[in-house]
Amino acid sequence: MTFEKRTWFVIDAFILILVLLTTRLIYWQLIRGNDLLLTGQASRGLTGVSGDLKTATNSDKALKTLLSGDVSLDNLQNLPQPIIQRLSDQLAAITRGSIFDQNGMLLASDQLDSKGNRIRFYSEPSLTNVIGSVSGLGIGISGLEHTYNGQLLGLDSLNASFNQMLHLPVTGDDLILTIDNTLQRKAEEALAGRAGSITVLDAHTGAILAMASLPRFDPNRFLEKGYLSGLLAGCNGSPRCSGFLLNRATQALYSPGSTWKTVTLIAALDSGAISADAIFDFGVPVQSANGPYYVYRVDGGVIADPNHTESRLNLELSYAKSANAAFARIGAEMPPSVLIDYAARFGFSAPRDKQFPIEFDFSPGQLAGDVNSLYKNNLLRAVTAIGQGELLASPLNMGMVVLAAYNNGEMPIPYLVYGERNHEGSQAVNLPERIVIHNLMKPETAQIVRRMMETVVKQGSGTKAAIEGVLVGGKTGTAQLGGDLLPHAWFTGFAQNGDRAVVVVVMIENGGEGSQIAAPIFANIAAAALHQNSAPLQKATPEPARPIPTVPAPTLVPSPVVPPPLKAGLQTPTPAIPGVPPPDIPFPAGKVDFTEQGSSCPGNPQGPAGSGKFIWPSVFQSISGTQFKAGHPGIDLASPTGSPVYAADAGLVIFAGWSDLGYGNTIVIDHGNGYKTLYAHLSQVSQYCGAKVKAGQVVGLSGNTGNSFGPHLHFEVRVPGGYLNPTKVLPMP
Amino acid sequence: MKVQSTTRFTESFLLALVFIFAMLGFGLLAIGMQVKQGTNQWSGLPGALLPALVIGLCSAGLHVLMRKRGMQVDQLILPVSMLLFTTGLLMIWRLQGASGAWQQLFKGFLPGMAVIAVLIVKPRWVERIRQWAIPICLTGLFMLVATAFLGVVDETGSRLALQLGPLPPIQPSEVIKLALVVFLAWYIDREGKQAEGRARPFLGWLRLPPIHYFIPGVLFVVLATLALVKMSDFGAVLILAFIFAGMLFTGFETRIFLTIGAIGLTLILMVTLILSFTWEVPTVIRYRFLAFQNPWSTEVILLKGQTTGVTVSEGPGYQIQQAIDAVVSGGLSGVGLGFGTPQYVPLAQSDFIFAAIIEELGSIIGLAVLILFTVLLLRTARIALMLPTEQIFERLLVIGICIHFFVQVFIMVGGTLNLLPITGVTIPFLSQGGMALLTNLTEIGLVLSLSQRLEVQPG
Repeated sequence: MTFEKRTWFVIDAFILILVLLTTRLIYWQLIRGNDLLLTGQASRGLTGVSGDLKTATNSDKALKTLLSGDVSLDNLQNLPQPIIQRLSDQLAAITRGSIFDQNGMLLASDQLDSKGNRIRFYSEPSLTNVIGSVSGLGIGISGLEHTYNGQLLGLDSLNASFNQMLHLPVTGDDLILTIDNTLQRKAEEALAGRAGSITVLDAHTGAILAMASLPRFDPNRFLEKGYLSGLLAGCNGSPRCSGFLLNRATQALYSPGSTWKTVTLIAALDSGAISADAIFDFGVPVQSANGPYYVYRVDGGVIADPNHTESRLNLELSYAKSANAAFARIGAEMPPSVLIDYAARFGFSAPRDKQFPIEFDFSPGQLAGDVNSLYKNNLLRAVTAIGQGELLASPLNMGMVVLAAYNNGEMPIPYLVYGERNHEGSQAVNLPERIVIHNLMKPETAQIVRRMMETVVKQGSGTKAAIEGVLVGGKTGTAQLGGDLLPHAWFTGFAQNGDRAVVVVVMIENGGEGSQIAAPIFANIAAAALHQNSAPLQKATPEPARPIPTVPAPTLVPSPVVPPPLKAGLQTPTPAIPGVPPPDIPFPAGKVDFTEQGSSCPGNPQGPAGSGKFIWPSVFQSISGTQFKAGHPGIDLASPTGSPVYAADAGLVIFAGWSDLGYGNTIVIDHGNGYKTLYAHLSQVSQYCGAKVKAGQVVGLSGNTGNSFGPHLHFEVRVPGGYLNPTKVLPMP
Repeated sequence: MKVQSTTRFTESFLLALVFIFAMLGFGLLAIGMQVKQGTNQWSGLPGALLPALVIGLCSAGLHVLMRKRGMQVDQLILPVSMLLFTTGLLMIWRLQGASGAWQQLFKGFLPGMAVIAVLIVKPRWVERIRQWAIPICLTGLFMLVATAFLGVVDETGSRLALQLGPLPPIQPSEVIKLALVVFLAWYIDREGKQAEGRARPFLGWLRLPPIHYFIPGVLFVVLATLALVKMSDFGAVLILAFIFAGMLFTGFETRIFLTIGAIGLTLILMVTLILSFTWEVPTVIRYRFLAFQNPWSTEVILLKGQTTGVTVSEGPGYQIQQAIDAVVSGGLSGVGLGFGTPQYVPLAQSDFIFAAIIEELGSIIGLAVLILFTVLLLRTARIALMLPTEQIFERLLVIGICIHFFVQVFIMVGGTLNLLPITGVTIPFLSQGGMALLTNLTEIGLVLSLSQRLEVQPG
């Protein structure tokens, strides 16, 4: 090789190295850039809350780490400055996606406060423990905000990486939940302030329609200095109170009580350990001050059975009347491996690779502290079979047992997120693949179990769960806790009306008897759920959206980021025509009183009185759309999508959300002096029902929802007995 | 011989562009900083434009000088190195303020330009360097060893600089790289042919010259390495190793190089093996390697079996994390000069200047910098190839300089992008450091000076 050749060899090697360096640069910026935003904090513990209510100390610990370490704003300052600085710079260019319920109702969204800072606003407090909250930096730290952080920040796509690289604003994906907001509120009302949870699942698909968990916190005050520690201090160390950051329906683990007998029954029937027509003889009852009761003795232990008076019962009635003696005997005489196997099928003490692929925070149940001890300890097995012992289950997990029995042994994995809507490109709703676990039991077993569950409601312990004209089956549970503590009240069951069916789990902590406390709540909620959603879920969910018309960015919002145009008006069949001045269609004739119709505001809180002097609800003050006339009781102001809408006067928000009357997303404010004002076709509702607003406060963002043919704000002024031409009360533009 | 002056039109045009770039860059930077502070935006402008004027005047002076000398090659080397220097100076001004930039100008740039001028005017000095190679290199080596034991202790506790009376402190670790280039070029020029002629077959196809030919080179490198390890300047060791390998490869017949390379590798492996059994690998190297594998690792660092309570991510991994964060936040177009937070990257003005450039000016400029280095590499290599075949010393000197530039870029940019374990190395022309810049400009001067010898002088 000559000198020339060798030199060229060296040069070639160097150029190769240059290519390598360039590749590495692209790798960091394009491929790793986005997840670095998140992993950078992962190593510093800035991630989610997990834990369980197994013991008080665990939840306390979870909370304390939360308070001491990572979340609240004042503690963020302890992190090295570069991390905060860069992270907040980068996150500032991202509009976090919004969260909607299945009807397009806005649940959580990014808003701008008066100083122009981005804040996360939650309009449905009862979903706090499901949706979770975000930290001061805008990173989800609990609930769905945590689980779907990547999607909500839009950091899961290459497209977003490109945008980040080019310093273009990024809008995260929207989440559309399976939650039905109306049912959700009913569920929380049914809890009536008691600690516990109510879960409603669509029995055919596993979609979670409602998930209420109490106690909870106010997600809109989460980052307020001292708010969380104040809540914790208010608990006085009470363990039940301090778990307010956990979703009790999925993360809390409780002793399941008699609801577990369903699992024992499935195991015994499906494995053939017992036949469906077995008859139990309970022998001679023991006499006590409270009357006679039966007992089952095994290995020197005594299991009391005060639930029935009959000395002989067949299997069906033993289940219906929740006979402890019968099920303790089944447990003790059943091969231990069968119990362990069937428990594992439902996710209890299951090996890591057999656990359910649930997409949100979920604590898998536990059959026993040490499963192997069940092989030797007959007493423990007997106690476990009736739902006591070392068993721990989350309410959702018990609901999944019912779900499997209802679907003939095929269990759809419960899910909360109906779909994700990308803000770029087609805006199509991306539907994740649903998973169904097959062959949890034989179909025949499932049929028998279902029939027995119906017997529970017809003539057993669950008679209070019955609903007129609806097929109901279920199982009560009363989990004894020992000491002076009241037992946990449980009811798990299904209700079916035509082709519509739901599975409901009611769990009231220290509530008392399941048959007395939980069963009536079940009946109440199941009836509401069946009535509420007479149409199957799929039809109620938003269809793939049409493209939004291009509108100029709002000029007055002091942030470079355009708030995400919300398309809650997906039901509107007409496509929007960009550029055409917004005409309006006549509204339904006659008065529509929002306080009576469709109002979602609970109670009658008093709001601040208006001054009687109105200001313009938008900076776009010319009546460019339809004038005030017959059939159109308001004025139309052509304001582009996303421009802020201000309260015209101080007052109380008496309606906030979707209106089926063609108004789209609507806010109605009662000014307390006879005047009410209405703001319609909003792209975003920023106030919740019952909010007290001042004149000039932003109540929403204008948009093109409802019966609207272009972005504009429809503004009405109502007085007792009719409508007023708004121009009569508004100042000159 | 009467010297015919040349036009060097391309160079004048490019230098004018560099001047405009410098004026714009410093002007915008000054205005941006004043706006950020809320003061009158024009107030800082005259002071900020001075460095641009200095660069412009100096490079114009060199340009005129080269025209007067009738030089026809190479019209790219000067503008490219000036452009790189201007970019670096912009970032230094932005990070360190005016004082840092002026220090760089006075301690590195002006002396360096003077050296270039002298080398261009006196091309025979290169010949002198060859004649005096041994004393020059021995002085460099001696100074390095002296620094390792007698140098000024800096704030981190290591001795990196040597104070000689009233003179400003010098860093021999920068000079030693050039000294090695000179030494190897001289040695291969002197003994190379003979060594190749007396080479004996070794393991079949390979060939090995008699062993005593290795002694001076190996001795030089081993001494320098020991001194540098004492100074814990591992970056310099790495550079010396690359220069050594690269120059042997170009200087010798390939078969001989392969033999030497194989023997060298075996020796290194054996030494490493023995070291790992008897002593521990130095903790610094071990944790730098861990930090390279995962800068975000939460492994706690142990020092002599004692926990230090510092994790990798807080210790050696921290600067890599910060550099990567800066690179990521820069994106394609950068966040804008003066609007980023490169000051959070430790040593952003010297070792990690590439991260600062990418954060504020974007990866477009970052890639442009890499491409400029490639241009520099190709142009210097071109001069080496055009030199007469019998001038082995000169050819190897240019190749060595070219290798030196590039290896330094590779090691530091690779470290910034976590492609290599981090070692404290400056990037030629960009990083802050007077001695390093002086060395690099001297090398440019050598190359330009040698380019006058070309028999054919095409454009």
